[in-house]
Amino acid sequence: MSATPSDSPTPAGVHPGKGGSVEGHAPREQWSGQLGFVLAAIGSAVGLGNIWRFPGVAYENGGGAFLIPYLVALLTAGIPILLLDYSIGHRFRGSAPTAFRRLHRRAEPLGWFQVGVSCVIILYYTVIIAWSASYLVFSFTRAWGDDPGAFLETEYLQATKPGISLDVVPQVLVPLVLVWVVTIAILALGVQKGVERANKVFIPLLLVMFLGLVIRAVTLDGAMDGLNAFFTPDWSALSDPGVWIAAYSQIFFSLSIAFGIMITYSSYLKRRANLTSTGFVVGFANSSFELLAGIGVFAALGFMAFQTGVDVSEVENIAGVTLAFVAFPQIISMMPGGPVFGVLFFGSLTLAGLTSLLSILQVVSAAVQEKLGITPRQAALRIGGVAAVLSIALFSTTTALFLLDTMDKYINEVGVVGSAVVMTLVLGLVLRRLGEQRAHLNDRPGLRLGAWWSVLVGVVAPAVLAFMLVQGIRSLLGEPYEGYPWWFLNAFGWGVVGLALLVAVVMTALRWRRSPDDFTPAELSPRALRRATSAGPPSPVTRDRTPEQGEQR
Amino acid sequence: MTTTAVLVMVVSLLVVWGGLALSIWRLRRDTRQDADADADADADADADAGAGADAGTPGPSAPPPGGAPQP
Repeated sequence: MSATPSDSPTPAGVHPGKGGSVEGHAPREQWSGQLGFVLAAIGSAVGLGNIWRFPGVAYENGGGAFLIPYLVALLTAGIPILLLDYSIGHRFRGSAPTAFRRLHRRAEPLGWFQVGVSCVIILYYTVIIAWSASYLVFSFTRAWGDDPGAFLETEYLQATKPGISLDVVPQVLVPLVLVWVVTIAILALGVQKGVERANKVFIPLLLVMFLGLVIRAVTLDGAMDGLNAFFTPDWSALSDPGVWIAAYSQIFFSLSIAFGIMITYSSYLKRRANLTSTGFVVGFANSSFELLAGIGVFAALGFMAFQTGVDVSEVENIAGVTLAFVAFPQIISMMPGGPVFGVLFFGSLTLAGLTSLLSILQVVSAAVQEKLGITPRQAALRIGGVAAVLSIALFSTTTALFLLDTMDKYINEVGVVGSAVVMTLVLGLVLRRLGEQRAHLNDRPGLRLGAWWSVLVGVVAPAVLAFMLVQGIRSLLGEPYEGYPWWFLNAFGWGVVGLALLVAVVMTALRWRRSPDDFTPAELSPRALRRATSAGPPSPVTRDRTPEQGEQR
Repeated sequence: MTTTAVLVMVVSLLVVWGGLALSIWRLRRDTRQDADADADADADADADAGAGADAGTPGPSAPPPGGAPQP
């Protein structure tokens, strides 16, 4: 355990009467300081989607004009929901299930559903990192030869067709096992010595590597044509509702919100932590990295178009797996000093993926630690062990590509978005606790949130997210995704959503080894509470728990 | 690059990276102010404790009876 002694004056690790107490529990782990948390939160937000999703989405949805709906989405949904996550985790001092249980007894399944979603994402996220690590090595010899597309499918992944396969691909198995070993080792060291230290090394390294990549990319022949294509605005796109939904989706999936990560991470913050200003730093850092990725990727694609004598608009494979593992190998093969560029690109992809993976695993680890009363090391070994076996069994085989594609599509568009819709509706409409959460955020140093925050989180965000959810479900039910067989989509698409629901039901039914209810949330100062709940009466819980005196420092 | 594309790129970078710089500045300022407020509160508490000790009332930071060393 790595609680900071100076901030843990009681066995419960909290200051009695001022910050919430958990009787009889071991001291809660904590970040060593604000910087550790900020870097870990940025590490979680900056992931594969920043590098391989944003540039393509922006280009296909109005180019430079896309940045307007993108920024609107950041400020009206991304950062507000991020702050909601922070307020829940920090106020109720627990992983998602514990925090939701402390918010309301019947809300625990929502926390476990978020854990279930994280479990599914962990399984396939590791294999992408393993592929990136392999390609980092391949960069030295340009092992993909003249046809990176064929190399990826037939030689490296040995992809067959959608289905279940027991044929293991050794060149995927080895890096996948290594990724799991590294991840479990970091997780077993705990929050401060493991996750925080790893992020303190990985994030600066990622920034340096990616800056190096972007500088090299923009100095290539044809780079300006790529940037021209990326930034030239198509203003007519702004009248297309689909473009706005794409912007909200990009922000939403990119910020690691609404599936337990930020709830878990903020629960390790010290009592007087600045939550609101930190949220803006994380939100803008994520977008800054995405913009940088857009510049780097499109400068490189411009170079590829120049070399092949086509227009940038004719370039294929501008997003996702094919951008990373087909287009970039082509670019690396074409350019002088390609291996260095390859190391920078695949190294960045590996680091960005690894820091995000750690955050997703921490969601599951923390939840299980709290429910079963086990240590971080035990949780890392048990959860990591089970997840590693499942992940290796499913994704080191010849059907990995199709499984990954299907599970990613369904768990994000149904699981993550559904979780966000339920969370915002439960907090805003059912329990009416947004006022308290706002008071909690405003009781700490940082930017003061007005009633606008409650409107954004309680009305705007759920409305947009519900539209996204309905649209996503309709498209998944309408036509078979990517033409895959229906049995395959039902088993591994709807199946993983069902699995997350099963996790919610089973884990909620299990008995807590340590009661999560011996807890008093951080007291809210009457002034902040009065301001935050002036629109309506406080909930009975708030009235019960509001102290006579304000929170002392 | 066309002038429009250059303008959009510059404005985008200014807004997003500017937003990041502003957020970091704000976070640093808030942290500093909070630390200053903490220091002021501690100083006030020490002053109150000293006054209390002068008046024969042990303050929060006064040594415990018997002069046992503080841990």
